[in-house]
Amino acid sequence: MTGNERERPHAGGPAGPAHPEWEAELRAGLEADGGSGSVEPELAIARLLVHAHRLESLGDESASRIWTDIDRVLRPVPWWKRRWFTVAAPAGVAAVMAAVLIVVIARPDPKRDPRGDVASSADLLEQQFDLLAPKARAEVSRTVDAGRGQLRGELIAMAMAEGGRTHGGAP
Amino acid sequence: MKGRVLSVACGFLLGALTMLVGLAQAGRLAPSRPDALVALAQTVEVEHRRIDLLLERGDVAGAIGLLEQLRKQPWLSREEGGDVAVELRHDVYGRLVRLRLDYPDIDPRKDDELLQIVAEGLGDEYRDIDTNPFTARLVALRGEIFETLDRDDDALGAYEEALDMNRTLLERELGSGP
Repeated sequence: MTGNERERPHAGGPAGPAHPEWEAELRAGLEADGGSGSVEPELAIARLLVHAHRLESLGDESASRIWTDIDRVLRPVPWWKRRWFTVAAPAGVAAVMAAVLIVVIARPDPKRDPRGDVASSADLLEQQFDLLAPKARAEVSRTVDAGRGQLRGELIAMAMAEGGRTHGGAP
Repeated sequence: MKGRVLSVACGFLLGALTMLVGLAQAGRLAPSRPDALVALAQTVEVEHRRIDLLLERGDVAGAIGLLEQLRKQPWLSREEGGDVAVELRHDVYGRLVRLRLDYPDIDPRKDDELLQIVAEGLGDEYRDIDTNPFTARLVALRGEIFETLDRDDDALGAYEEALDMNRTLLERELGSGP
């Protein structure tokens, strides 16, 4: 039995306290009996019970508004509107941009030998050697010439000493 | 009294410095076998000219063979021939290793063997001798071999050492300029 059925008046007069005319009929009956006694406390309880028993009917507009509120609470929030996404998305974009920058800026030149620095050092050293070697060779020659001159002098001195001794001893 | 102590201290300092410089230059100025040094220098000079001629004719194999023969001859030690004897050796070994690196298909040698040749040429005393371009070149060539062996750290170390030597030589050049 629904609330509407409970409130619906029975055919042939008021059927219970819920009927709006029930109280009027009760008072009319009391006056007809001589108006002795008071039923006000009972009537207050009856009104309370009727009020508590009566179901509030919702209009279409109210029901729609309530369902909208419920729907808003119950319906899952799209992932792109969630809070974690609002934090994670900028962080991810920044990371990707940084990675792109690093890759673009620090990208090794495909034409460049990864050991180019080392190789260029070897070339540079060889060039420096070509520059420095002639003078160093000349220096070595000068030193050897000096030694050769000294040696020649010693040999001449030895020969002279040997010859002097021989001549001196000859008859 | 105080002045006398100062004079004595200065004298000691001067004497010690003179001794140190003298010892440092001893190998360079006074080889114990000057006759052998002269013979070695003449031999090396003549062989260099022969190698130049062979290379001009495109006979790289002949040049390498000649340098190998030269390599196998007995070399004077630093005590016997002074720094000049060591420089001559470094020059010959440097030329040999340069040719071997530039022409790896001729009488091929493994990189480890080349490293051994370089070590044999440099000897233990190469850091003690007067800075010269022949030693620097041989050290640089060792760097190239390290590089071939993918020992990049060793290669960079060798190049740094050679560059330091050349920097010293270039500074000397600039200092002795007109």
